[in-house]
Amino acid sequence: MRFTCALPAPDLCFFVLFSRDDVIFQSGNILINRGDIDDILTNQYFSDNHVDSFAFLLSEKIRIMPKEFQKYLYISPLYRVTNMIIKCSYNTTPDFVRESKLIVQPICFQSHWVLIVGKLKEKVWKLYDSLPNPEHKAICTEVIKQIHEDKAGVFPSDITTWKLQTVRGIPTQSNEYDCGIFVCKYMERAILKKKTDWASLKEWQKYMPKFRAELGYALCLTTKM
Amino acid sequence: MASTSSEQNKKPNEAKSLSLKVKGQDEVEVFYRAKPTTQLSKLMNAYSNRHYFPVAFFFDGHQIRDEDTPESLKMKDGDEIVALIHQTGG
Repeated sequence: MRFTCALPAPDLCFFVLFSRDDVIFQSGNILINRGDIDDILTNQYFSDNHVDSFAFLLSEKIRIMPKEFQKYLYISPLYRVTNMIIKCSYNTTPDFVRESKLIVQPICFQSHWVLIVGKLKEKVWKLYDSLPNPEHKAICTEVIKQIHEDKAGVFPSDITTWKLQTVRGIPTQSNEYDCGIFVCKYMERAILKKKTDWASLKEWQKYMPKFRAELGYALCLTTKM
Repeated sequence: MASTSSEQNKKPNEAKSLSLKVKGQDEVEVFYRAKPTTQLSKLMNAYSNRHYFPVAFFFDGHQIRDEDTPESLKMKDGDEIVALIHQTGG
């Protein structure tokens, strides 16, 4: 008599247990499913979900170590396409703005991520771009104008008159798919109280797969199953 | 007569379908009727089939999951769902 294996074939087993649509993490406008985790680990492009979830994890980190970070106002990249109020990330009560020192806004434009950081005290915008290009600067002024028109009176001065400076000497990407994670890591550095020595981080490109893995792991840890 | 009319009134109450508005990024509005207990994945699939890009749906600032129903999200008649194309870049 022959014995037959009770388990289905391995690939079938995998198919049954895991679906790309399984929800790993949800908070506010963010929805990360298993497919998104795969995208992080397999060098795919980043979506607004990824960048927002990184910002969420960052805010959790700040709650644990508030002394090392500056207070900031995070505006979700979805804000550019809709003026919908995104509850978890867009807090523009005047009190909150008065307390914060930075405005952080990642922008996705023509399949490229850039980050602008507004310094409320110095009245200047800093542009972090991992593929420096004057075109990316033009879209930033448009976004700033949009925020200004929508939220007039929230900020202490006219944010459209602030100077927009490109940050020089930052590590840049050498491939065509890493700009999302670069923007996330710029964000992490930009809100630190301590000034970042960008020159010592020239080798960042090499570590991007590690940073991607860290993000995927951190997201998996948040799952409540 | 009275009994039949009360029955007729009762029936629509049990499965009163809601009219939901889906507003796209281009401000185009599409209307759907859904029962409170129907999974919203049905509505989302119907909308997605008309677009080439993967669309994300938001209600009240929250992204809608496949298994959500109008009842679980406390939707009312005439509520608006926002449909956005995901921003991706690399």
